[in-house]
Amino acid sequence: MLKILDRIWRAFGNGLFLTLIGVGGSLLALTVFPLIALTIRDPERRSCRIQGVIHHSFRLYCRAIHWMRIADVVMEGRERLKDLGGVLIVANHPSLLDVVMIMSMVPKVQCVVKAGLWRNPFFRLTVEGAGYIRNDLAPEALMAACVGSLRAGKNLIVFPEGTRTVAGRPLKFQRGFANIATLAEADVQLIHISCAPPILHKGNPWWRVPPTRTRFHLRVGERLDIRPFMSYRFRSVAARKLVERLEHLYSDELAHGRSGVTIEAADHLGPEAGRSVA
Amino acid sequence: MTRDEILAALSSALQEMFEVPADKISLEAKLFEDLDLDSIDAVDLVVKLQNLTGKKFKPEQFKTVRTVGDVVDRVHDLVSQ
Repeated sequence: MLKILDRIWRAFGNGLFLTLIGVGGSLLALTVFPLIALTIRDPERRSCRIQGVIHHSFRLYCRAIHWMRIADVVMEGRERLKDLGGVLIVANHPSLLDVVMIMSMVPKVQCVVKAGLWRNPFFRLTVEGAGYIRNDLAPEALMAACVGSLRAGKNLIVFPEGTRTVAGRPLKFQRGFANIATLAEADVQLIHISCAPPILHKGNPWWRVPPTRTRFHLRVGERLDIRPFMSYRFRSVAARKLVERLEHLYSDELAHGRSGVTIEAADHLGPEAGRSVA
Repeated sequence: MTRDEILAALSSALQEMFEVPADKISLEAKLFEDLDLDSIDAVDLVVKLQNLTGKKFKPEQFKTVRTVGDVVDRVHDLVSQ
């Protein structure tokens, strides 16, 4: 009985917290962000302040998820992200909440966001004020915007898989992140995320929750120095080596069950998917 | 520069810069789909072609280029102008 109640509570919690992003975001967009926009004219300082508010809000959000026992949220090595500057942050992407959790770990960070958010006047104020980069820019302009913000000493989150991880499928990284890192000559900070048993993964509705409580585990991994990569004669080769290196590092983590979506998720997709994970 | 010379230079650039295996390079091979180049690679390649031919190219001149053969033709046209 308690188990059933717990499961219902967690399904409800998922819905509640997803709604909260929209509602909380709108509330901030109606109150705090216009105030910041009005009082701080300098766009640089303004975006810093807005990113700070987002960071603290997401921090509170992640803690609330943990305290309310919707899911366990464990973050490891957060202190190593405090003074980061001009670093490309990469992570695997098992769930919908990954970006929220990473932003709760890094005080100042930018990301590439859906252009759709620019259509909503309130969200526009937020995403534009925070200096986020919209994803509908032409490929060259998007690349230039990402490289520009890293060179200006800002941190940027990119998910090299390009989309949420699908369990049981071999890891395949896009080269975009490596192009950004090699063009900007920015170090790459790895974050490993595991979400087990999985919730909010690709193709799974929010209300479908596993029998036991999910544990989100975010571990701050290696920080790759970009300089050894830049010693290749061609940037294009450096980018390819960087993709290989990261695929290797993340596949290793995945194989040891330390990150990604677990085998339970793969079972869910059928025996074939399960085998390729094992 | 003859077409053959251009093809030879392009072929070694593709192998060196983009780790394309020699046996995948043919006139029909598509740069993005078959040889796994991306748009940033394309920019690097145009710069490389400039260095090889000593001519100045604009990226727009390579906008419609799809295959290795297209690149050879385009470079040949631009060089003989």
